[in-house]
Amino acid sequence: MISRIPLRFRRLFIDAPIKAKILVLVMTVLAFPFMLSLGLIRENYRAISSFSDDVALFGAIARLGEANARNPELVGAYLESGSFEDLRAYNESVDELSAALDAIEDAASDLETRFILSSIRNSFQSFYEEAHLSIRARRFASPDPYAGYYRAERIARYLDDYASMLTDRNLAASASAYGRRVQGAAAGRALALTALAAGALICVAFGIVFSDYLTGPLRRLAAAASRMAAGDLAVDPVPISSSDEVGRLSDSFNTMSAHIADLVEGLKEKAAVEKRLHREELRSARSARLLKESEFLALQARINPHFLFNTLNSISRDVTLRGGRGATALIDALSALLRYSLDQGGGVSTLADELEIVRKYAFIQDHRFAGRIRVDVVCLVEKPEEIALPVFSIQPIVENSFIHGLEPKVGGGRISVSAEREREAVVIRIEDDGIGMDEERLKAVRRGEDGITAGRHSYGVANVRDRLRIFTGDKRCFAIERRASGGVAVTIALREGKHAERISAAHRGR
Amino acid sequence: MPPRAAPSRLALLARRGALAALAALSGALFASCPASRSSLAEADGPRALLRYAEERGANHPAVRAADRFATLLERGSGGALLVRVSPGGRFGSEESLVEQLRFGGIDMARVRLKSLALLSPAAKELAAAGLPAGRPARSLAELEAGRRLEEELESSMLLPLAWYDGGSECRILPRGRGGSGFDGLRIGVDSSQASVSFVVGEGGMPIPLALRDFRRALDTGLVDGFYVPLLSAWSERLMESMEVAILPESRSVEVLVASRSTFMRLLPVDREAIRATAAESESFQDPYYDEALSSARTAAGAGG
Repeated sequence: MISRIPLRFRRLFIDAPIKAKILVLVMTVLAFPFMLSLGLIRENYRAISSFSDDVALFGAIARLGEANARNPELVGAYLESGSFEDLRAYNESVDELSAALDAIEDAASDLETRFILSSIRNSFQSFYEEAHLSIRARRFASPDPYAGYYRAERIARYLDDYASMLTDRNLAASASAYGRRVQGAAAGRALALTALAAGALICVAFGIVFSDYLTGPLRRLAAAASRMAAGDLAVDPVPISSSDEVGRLSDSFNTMSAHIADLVEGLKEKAAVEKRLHREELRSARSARLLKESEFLALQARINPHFLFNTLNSISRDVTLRGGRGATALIDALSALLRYSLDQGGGVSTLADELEIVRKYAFIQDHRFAGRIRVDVVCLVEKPEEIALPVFSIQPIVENSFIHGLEPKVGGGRISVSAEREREAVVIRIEDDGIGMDEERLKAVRRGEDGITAGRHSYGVANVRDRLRIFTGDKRCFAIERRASGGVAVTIALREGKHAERISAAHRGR
Repeated sequence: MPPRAAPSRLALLARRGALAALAALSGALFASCPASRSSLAEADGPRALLRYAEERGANHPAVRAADRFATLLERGSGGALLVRVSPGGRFGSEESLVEQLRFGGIDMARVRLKSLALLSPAAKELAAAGLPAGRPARSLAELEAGRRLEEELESSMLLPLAWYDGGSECRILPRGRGGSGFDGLRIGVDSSQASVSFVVGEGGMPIPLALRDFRRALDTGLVDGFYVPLLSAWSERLMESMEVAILPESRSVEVLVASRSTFMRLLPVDREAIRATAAESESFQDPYYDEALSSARTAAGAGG
């Protein structure tokens, strides 16, 4: 049905302001009861008017009948008395009858009534003339003044019949009209009730459709705004079906949401970049810090007075007691150790170099401890020179085993350093059979608190662990545990799949 | 305060429409109130309303002829003259009609000459003579008595306008019943008081019937015979199957009489129209009588 409305008018309505649309709805809704009320008022007015006319008509007929009944009596009275008062009363009665006739004629609504009125007028005219003749005859003492009176009296009887006809006619007409009006009122009441019910249904349906038409776009807009408020910036543009306030609001919302989405996207990208940069900075900073520490440790090792003193003492003793047979090797090992620590400015070495420096260190310590502590270094990995790892990743662990595990042990012991490939990883194990460490201390070392509680050497273990984790990006690359047979075992796992790129890059950097 | 946006076209249209609808509905409310009845009286209407009274029933050929007269007169006067035919003795017997004609209570009536006898010796004379066979009723007006009748009626405030063949007063009885009276018989009559009085006077029991029902009533035994004024031609036709006794000198004449007091108040042109139409109406009744007889025959079957 709506599609039958010309497009021009539909556009006119669609683009109109909401105020105008609501005005149209209110006018449409009000028009129905207003028209119904108008019809009912009109019917009521007609009924009242008709009743009033009937009352006036019957009143006039009654006055007519009364005057007509009086007239012959008054004429007769005058003929008997000759009194002017009787004559005046007759004249007044005649006037009253004439007035009643005029009133009836004014109220006459149908032709038959007017026909009867015509008969009454003609008859009354004749009555009047006959009565007048009698009155003149009485006044001028003419003979037989009653002849006219008798004729007038007979006419008055007919007049009474005509008045009765008039009454009957109008009673019948009124009864018929009343019957029609009662039927009409009943039909009107039924029609009004039906129309009211139908109108109410139509109004409700129209109201629902209209309100849905008005609020539908608002609901869609509200839903989109709620989604945006909840953080979902990927809302689809709200459809725009009109150019009214809601249409303009929807258009503005779409523009605003697009801008917000762009801004938030930009902020997200910026935040991601900043976060990445920050993370890189943190890593770099930490790496630098750890490097500094390792360098510090290396420097400490390099200049450790105890180690240097012990080593030089060993060299001196060898020269003194053994004629310097082993001094040259000791000096070579010490110089290699010192050179290694001085050359590792980049912080990255290879497994081969690390194992070699462990051998040098072990050689010096073996000479010092006169074979009481044995260090076995075994490498089962092919091309260890291509496997990168942080500098001084193994030697501090070995040194730790010497100092804390085996040096306090009276019978000495053994330190085993091995490197082998297990599945996708290169696993380096440093095991000693020293005095080991209790559970509390082991937990402290694992938490990285060993630097606080364990002094310089444990500080070195934590440094190695952190550097390895940064270097490999693998938190599980370093493990320390007590051996069941006594001593401590440290495992360093370099998983190639996870760290191949980093190791390869480090290797390329060498 | 920001400036208000200009209202849209629809808003302007809606405002104007609302005002216009309000005005139109208010106007409709007042316009829908009915005018008083006086408007009918004040409106241009006919110049004269004339009452034509008939003693006989509405279907009587004479009454149907009167209806035709009324129709022709109204049409001929362009609606200026309205004639209302009131049949069935609503205004009383013929004698009463004559009295009402005199003072203008009614305006026209078709009455038998006999009913005018009290007012006019000429009418009595003409009624007694009856209508000679083969002569139209109008021919009586040319007679000396006819001219006197007009003068005598004028003095009684009456005006003869048209002359009609009132038919013969027939006593109709099945063949073999014989006799000249209605003694002890149930006799069908038309509804006129004159017929009823005649039958009662003849010793019969009058039973008023419509003309078309006479034959059926006879066949079913409701009546023994009829007393009805019939046109001469009818009487002759009925004589083939029925024993019809035409009363001696019973061929009656009827006159359309107008109230002089009413007539003289009309415009000359209206009076002339009435006279012309009345003269024309003298032949109106014939087809209606034929039609009534035909209906009676049809109703009675093949033997009707």
